[in-house]
Amino acid sequence: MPRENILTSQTARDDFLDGVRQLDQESSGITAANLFTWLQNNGINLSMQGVNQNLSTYDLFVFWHVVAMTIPLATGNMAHAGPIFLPWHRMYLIRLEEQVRRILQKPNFFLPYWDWAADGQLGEVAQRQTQLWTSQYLGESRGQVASGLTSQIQVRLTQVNTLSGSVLVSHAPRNLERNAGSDVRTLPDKTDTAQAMNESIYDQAPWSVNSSGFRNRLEGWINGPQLHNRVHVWVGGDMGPGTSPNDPVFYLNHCNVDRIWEAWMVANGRNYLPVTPMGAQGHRLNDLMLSILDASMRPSDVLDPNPWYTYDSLVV
Amino acid sequence: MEKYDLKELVKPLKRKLPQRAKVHIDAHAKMSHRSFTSVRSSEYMDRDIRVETTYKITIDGKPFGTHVGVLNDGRVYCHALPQYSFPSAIGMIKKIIRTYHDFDMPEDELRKNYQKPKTSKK
Repeated sequence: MPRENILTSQTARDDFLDGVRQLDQESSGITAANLFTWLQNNGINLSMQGVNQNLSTYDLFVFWHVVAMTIPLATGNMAHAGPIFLPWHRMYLIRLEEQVRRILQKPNFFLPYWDWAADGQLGEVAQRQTQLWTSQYLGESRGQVASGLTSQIQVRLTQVNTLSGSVLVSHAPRNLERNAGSDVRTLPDKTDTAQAMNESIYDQAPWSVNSSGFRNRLEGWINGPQLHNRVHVWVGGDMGPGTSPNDPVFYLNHCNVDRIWEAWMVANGRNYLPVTPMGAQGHRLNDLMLSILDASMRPSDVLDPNPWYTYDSLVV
Repeated sequence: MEKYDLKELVKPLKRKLPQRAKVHIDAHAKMSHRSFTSVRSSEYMDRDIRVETTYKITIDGKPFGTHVGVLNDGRVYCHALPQYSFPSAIGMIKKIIRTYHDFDMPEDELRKNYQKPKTSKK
């Protein structure tokens, strides 16, 4: 079975929502104090404070994303703002998919995607009133998420910004929050995805937020926020800070980003840049990608996703 | 696939840390003056263009400590809101203040129970 559109596959929807809910309710055996100690002992410059509490397996994915975002490289960080953005998130999604399979005991589970460019064709108000934002799917698009399975997701880690810098805060569990269509009024649309698909080069120097090419257009820095970035900004609320994987829509967004990358590679070849030894350290074809959950992979390991999954459609 | 325990969580990253730590310390040193410099460059008609932009931002007279950068189109971005970009730095700081000013920071229980690992003497 392939990865499917969440709006057309009821099974994929039900399994995804139940799976992430269960991962959020499962104790990982790791506490906030354990993570604080780990950050201190490993010299990672991520400030963390707040209450000590047991964290879930789902929280560890949130933590992993923040850590990757916090460690700077010569350009960008270990998961964003450079060529590594697409392969790192592909690895990250594969690991979440494995965890959902484990907890549901469904070896044939595949993450669904949200074809946000299709919704971007709708009117401004209609975009935040689609089926996706009902209790049968993700719950409310604005305010506190209070309906459906997603209302049972508890946020325990939030990255906030103080005068002196960013802090990862461990706090009393609370519901998810969204603010759809407030900071940007509309989602990306099919014209935007077509522009990305027209890029013939994956990435190029300076391998950053200022590069031309497919990756930077899809990540959303060119005339931004666009595409991936714009979806984060459009949803708002918990999708804003580095702890954005708190909201399950994070995974639906990234699954669609991954699908667009796959469509681009089918059209242009499985070409990745930079190739060792040229290019930015940490972003190259054979550099190890940061993983704190299971083994690290290299971009070269994930260029072809067929060992793990396929997509039901590559029409983007 | 089994659940993860802390040992598994720590192992893979530990192997990579020495190299990452150096990158990190360099970045921190640049930030010590609480100013952030972005370099943009382009080639045009066989000429190399280089634009350095430095932001030194204060709020209520206190330095703002989160990295700020500039995109080629002149928009500014900040790690506090990692997917956003703004036409003006003032607008960006206003948005950051709006986003975080209501946050109720809990009392810290994490630092007080932390014990530094003992280092072995050579």
